[in-house]
Amino acid sequence: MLPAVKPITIWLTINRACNMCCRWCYARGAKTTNQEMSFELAQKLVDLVVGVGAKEILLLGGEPTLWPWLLDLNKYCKGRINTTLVTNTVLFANDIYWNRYLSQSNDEIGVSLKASCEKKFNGVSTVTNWETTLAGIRRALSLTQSGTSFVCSPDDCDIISAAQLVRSLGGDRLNLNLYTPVCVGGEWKSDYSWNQIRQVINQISIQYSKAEKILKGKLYLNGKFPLCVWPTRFIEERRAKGQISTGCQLSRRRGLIFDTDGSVLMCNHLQEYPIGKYGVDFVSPEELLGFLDEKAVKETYDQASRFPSTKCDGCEDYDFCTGGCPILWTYFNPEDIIQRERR
Amino acid sequence: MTKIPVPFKTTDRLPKELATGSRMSAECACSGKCDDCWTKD
Repeated sequence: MLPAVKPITIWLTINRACNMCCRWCYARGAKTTNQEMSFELAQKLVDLVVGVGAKEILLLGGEPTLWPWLLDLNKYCKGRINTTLVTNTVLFANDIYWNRYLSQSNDEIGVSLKASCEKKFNGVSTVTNWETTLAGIRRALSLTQSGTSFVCSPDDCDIISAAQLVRSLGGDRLNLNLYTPVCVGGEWKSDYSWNQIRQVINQISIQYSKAEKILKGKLYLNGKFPLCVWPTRFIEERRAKGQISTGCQLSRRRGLIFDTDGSVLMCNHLQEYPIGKYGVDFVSPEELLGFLDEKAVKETYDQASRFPSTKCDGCEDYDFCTGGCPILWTYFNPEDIIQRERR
Repeated sequence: MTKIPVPFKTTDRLPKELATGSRMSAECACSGKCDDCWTKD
């Protein structure tokens, strides 16, 4: 059995409502979109995680700017723990909201860029207007503590256009994320075949050097897929430049996610698989650490830490690679995808 | 509470230690949207 989680980074899912409806969003499986965390529960969870020594809270949804108590919670956290807001920035385009937000902003903002151009944006989200979205992003990126993340999928993996867009909006860095399957109504689904995802890998590999130049090197890859599916030289270059992240809070057991009702999730993709709940399994910091150290909880985490493929057991790169995002293996068969040798 | 097993199509073998992975440059500020950001820990 592997060690218990030591929560350093905490994700608070404060609501499920959103002013976009993105095709690839992990949250689209939420039972209802009106689920939201009460302000009282959010305060209790902040007290709890500060008590266990967590360093950072990421506030996300849904779209957390739609949560009525966001600025109150920011004020509550100020001076106690750093907060990062993960947002699509649409509300920032509203002058009244933006001015209110500036009075009680987060320590950092993670901007979620939905598409590399207007045409592709309209295919992803028909709810919100492109120009409004750009106005919000421009405002978010005017704050020095903002970074941008872009999900690459077979529908849009034009990272050169995405890099140019970020620059034109005042940003200087871009984090590339990759599509993963989602659980909808208890059933795991992927919108794309592995062959389509392979095309994304190829396009990123081909476009990276040009996109990287646009951002003066500040282009980062979240290496969610096993490294053996990428070209070897491409991965070595990213590694040498500090441009790749592999593994996650789940693989390192350094994070914890709280859903709107106080349920504990191993990952935001695992909304339908809560492993415990505030007020039921623990209340105090000591009880939370004791809960995470329970055999049944550690065994649950161990399910996500097993070698995906027999080819991973003994692979000299496994510690660096971590076998890819465990969520991939809810849908795809790792024995079909993981290769013995890198390409 | 009952913990429903996630249907991971993995082997049943565990590494001896947690895989550490690799972090990005400290300059990166990713969104953390998918729990993958651990640049701050």
